[in-house]
Order: sequence, then structure tokens, then C-alpha cells
Amino acid sequence: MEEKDGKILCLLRRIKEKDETAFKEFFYLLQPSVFHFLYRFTSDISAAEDLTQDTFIKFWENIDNLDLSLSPKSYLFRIAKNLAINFVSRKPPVDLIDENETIINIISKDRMINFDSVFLNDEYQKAINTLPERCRLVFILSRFEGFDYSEIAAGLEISLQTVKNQMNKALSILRKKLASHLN
Amino acid sequence: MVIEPQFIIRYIKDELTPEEKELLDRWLEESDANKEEFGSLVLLWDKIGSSKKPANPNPDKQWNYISNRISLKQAAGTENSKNEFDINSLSVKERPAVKSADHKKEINWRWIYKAAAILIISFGIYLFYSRYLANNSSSQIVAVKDQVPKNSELVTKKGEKITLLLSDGTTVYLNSDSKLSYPYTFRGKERIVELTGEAYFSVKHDTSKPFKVISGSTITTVTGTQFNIRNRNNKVSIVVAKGSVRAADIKSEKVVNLTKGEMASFNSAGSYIKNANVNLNNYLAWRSNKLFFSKTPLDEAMNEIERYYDVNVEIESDSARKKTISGIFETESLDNVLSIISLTLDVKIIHTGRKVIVK
Repeated sequence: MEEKDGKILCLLRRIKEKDETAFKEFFYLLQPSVFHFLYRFTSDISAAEDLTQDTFIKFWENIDNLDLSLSPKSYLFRIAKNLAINFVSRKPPVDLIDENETIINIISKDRMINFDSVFLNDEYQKAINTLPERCRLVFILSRFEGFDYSEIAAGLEISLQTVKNQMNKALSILRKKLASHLN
Repeated sequence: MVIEPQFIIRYIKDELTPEEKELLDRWLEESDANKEEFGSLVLLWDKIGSSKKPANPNPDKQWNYISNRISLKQAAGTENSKNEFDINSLSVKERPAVKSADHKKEINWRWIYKAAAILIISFGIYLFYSRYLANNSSSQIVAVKDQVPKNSELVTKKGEKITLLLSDGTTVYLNSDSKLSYPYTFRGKERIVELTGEAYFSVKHDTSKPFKVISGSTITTVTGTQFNIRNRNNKVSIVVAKGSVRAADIKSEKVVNLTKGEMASFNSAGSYIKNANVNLNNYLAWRSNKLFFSKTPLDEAMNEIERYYDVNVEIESDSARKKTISGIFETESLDNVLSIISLTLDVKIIHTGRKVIVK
């Protein structure tokens, strides 16, 4: 983890000088992470794909504003977060229970992946979707992106105490929702 | 003492200070209810983490799009760059037409492909001649006497995959834990290679010199086509991706012709089952680092996992051995794969270091 962060910092210095190869390396390093974050937040694969591209383009366009003393990862995810919230608020909330079927169909058509019965019905993603926006962001960054609390606080521009409160809230909601899965 | 749920999560993520850890230990000792609460949170955290992950979008494609966009911006000059930027009010703008830039890029790419092709070909020629000449000059008498082509062997370890260009222009993608024997140069009327394990062949077309793959007791003959051969657990499966092949078994003398999308599986006795319409992507999944199972018994699936992740698996329960698993795993961590298997098949799997035990 630390080694990766060091690498990112090195790349950033070069990106600030508009070095496209460094930016490419940076993109390949963080694309999966940004994509998964956006997918978890939007529950929409094609939106997450588009928003991933937009995030990196925005990042490049605004590299001059980047303060190298700030966590670059937080900065990137802050852009991703804003794009995601924008997307979610423009779109009427989707009931995943009905949507689930189509999502799986789209995936299997697009990628010719054969989703047999192996995958659990994704109650977990559905439960995450029911979390309030900020709660959801905090939870996703903590669970899936390996951010620690101070990074989340920096990335979302909220206090450490708020991160803790939101985590407590997320956990208690999820526990209630998923009670039947946790026996 | 009351402990907040987020505190336990920080413990799981190993973010607690030693003092906080002590606090948590004391809390755990206090009552069984506390231990239970702790357990249920750990379980929640774990299960949510192993939930379905969509496949990553193709990074190359995305990068092309991004690099087009940013070079377009740069070319457009700096008139836009004065815009005040507020990170909190970002919005997704409609994408400007990138047609012209795409077109420009395409030409560039074509150039690069051409250059790369020339490089690869020249390197191939160089390799071919350097080996050929080395063989010839060092032992000319032997070379004249010895009409049998000299064979080379390529072996892949677990967790390793290798792409090989043969002297006739055929490409072989060799999967993990596999072996290919091939001659430096193909002499005689046939091109013959021998395979153990799994490989994907893209055979250079040459009607005058059929290409043959010997694998176990089956011989697959083609003139120019693309196909996958998998020789594992005493079973040889041939899947055709392009063109047609003829597969024959030496022992049973059974012969089967296959075309695109067809598969034949030979068992150890040499009889085969033909499958007329298979999903090619599934059988070629290994080439893009995916694991594919289709009603695969757990012991076979675990063999595959051993090869893929370079671990040793031991299955202790006989009832678990025959449970079957279906689905595709995309470049996930071993622990994710194992936890999905353990949840779906309801078996206990313990993973420590390079060892995996199924109870």
C-alpha cells in the first residue's frame, strides 16, 4: 500500500508537468479502484464506466489545482464522488430489485459472461444502495477502497468524527437489512 | 463499557492503536453478548466484501478515449484553461464529438502496429536464423545425418503463461503448468508439436504442410485455424475458435471433425463427446486471466485454482469433492474466490500461506 502511494506521488510530479506517459501509468494503476467505487455508488455498470473516464479527464484538466501535500488519491476520489453524486441525483432512484435481472442480462450480453447460479443474489449491493448518500460514500471508501478514516475525511471534506458517525450509521442499517444473511 | 460498531471495523482493518486494541480486548472479555456482536460485525464486513464485483472495463479502450480527449483539449489551445474551476460543482458534460481525433489516432495506431509488426517479424527472423545457424555451424555433420528435427521444450510453471511464436509463424499461448515440445524448424511434410496441459493455437495457414498437435492419445490436425486444446485430468478437450480441425484418437481410432464453436472431449479410453455450440469466451477465458467453471467438480476446480494462484489445495471432505461449481471469476484475489466458493458450496475453506484446506 505504502509503496503504491509513493509511486503515485512520483507519477503526480510528472503529471503536473503534463507528462502523458506518467498519466497513463497513473490511470492504469487506479482505474480498477475508481471504477469499483463508482459502480458501488451508482450500481450502474455503464454509468460507472463512463464516469471513470470522466474522472480521469477532469483530473488531468485540473492538475494545476492539485496540491501535492494533499493525498492525491483523495483528490481523485473527490472528483469521482462529485461526478457520481451528480449522476445519481440526475437519475431517478432505481429499484435494484427489479433492475437486477436486466443488469445481469446486460453484462452477459456485453461480455458474454455466463453468470450461472454461482453468484449469490446480490442482496449486499442492494442493502448498500439503501444507505443515505454520505453514509454510502463513507462505507464504500472504507470497505472497498481500503481508505482509512483520515483519508475518507480528507476525500469527502468532512471531519473525522463525522466519518465515525456515518460508519456507525451505515453498519447499523446494514446489520438490520442483512440480519437474515448473518446467522 | 459500550463500543461503537465502527470501532470494531477499525480493528478488522488493523487501524487501532495498541491502547485501543487493549480496550477492545477488555470489552470482548466482558460478556458473551459482546463477543457475539463482534462476530456478527466481522461476518457482515466479510460477506459484503465478497459480494459480486463487475468486470473492470477494458483499460486500453478507456485510455484511448481519455488520451484522445486530453490531446484534443491541448490542441484546442489554452483559451478554455482560464475557466475558474470549482471541484465541488463538477458536472458531467455532454461529450464533444471526438470523431476527427479518433480518426487521427487510428492512423497513428496503424503506424504503430505496422512498426511493431516489422519489429516482431525481424526479431523472429533473427531468432530463427541465429538458432538455425548455431545448430548448423556447430555440428554440421550431425545436422546432415540427423534428419529428425531437433526439438525444443517450453514449460510453464504454475501461475505463469507464455506466448510463443513458432518458426512457421504459428502462435501458441501456453497456459500455466503446461508443456509444449516443438522443433526449431519444421522439416518434412508435417508440422508436429506435442502438448501437455493447455494451450491456444493460432496456426499459420499452409495446406501443403498440415499442423498436428499430439496431446495424450489424441492427434489434432489442421491446416490453418485457431483452437484451444486442454489436456487435464486424463481428458483432452478441443474447442475451435476459427476454421476447422480434425481430431483423432490413436487408441480408439475414433475421428471427429470440428468447426467454429464446436468442442470435442476425449476421455482416457479414447471415446469422445461432441458439443455443437459452446460459448467460446468461456473456454478461452484463461487467456484473459479469468477462471471459468461450468458444473465443474470441486476437485477439478481446485486443480485449476492451484495452477492459477500457485497454491497447494487439499480436500479433506469426500462429499465436498463432488460438489459442482459454475461461473466465471475475473482476476480476483484468491481469498475472494475461496470465500465465494465456500459460501456457495457451503464448505469450510482455510487458507494459510500457500496452503488451502477444504474441510
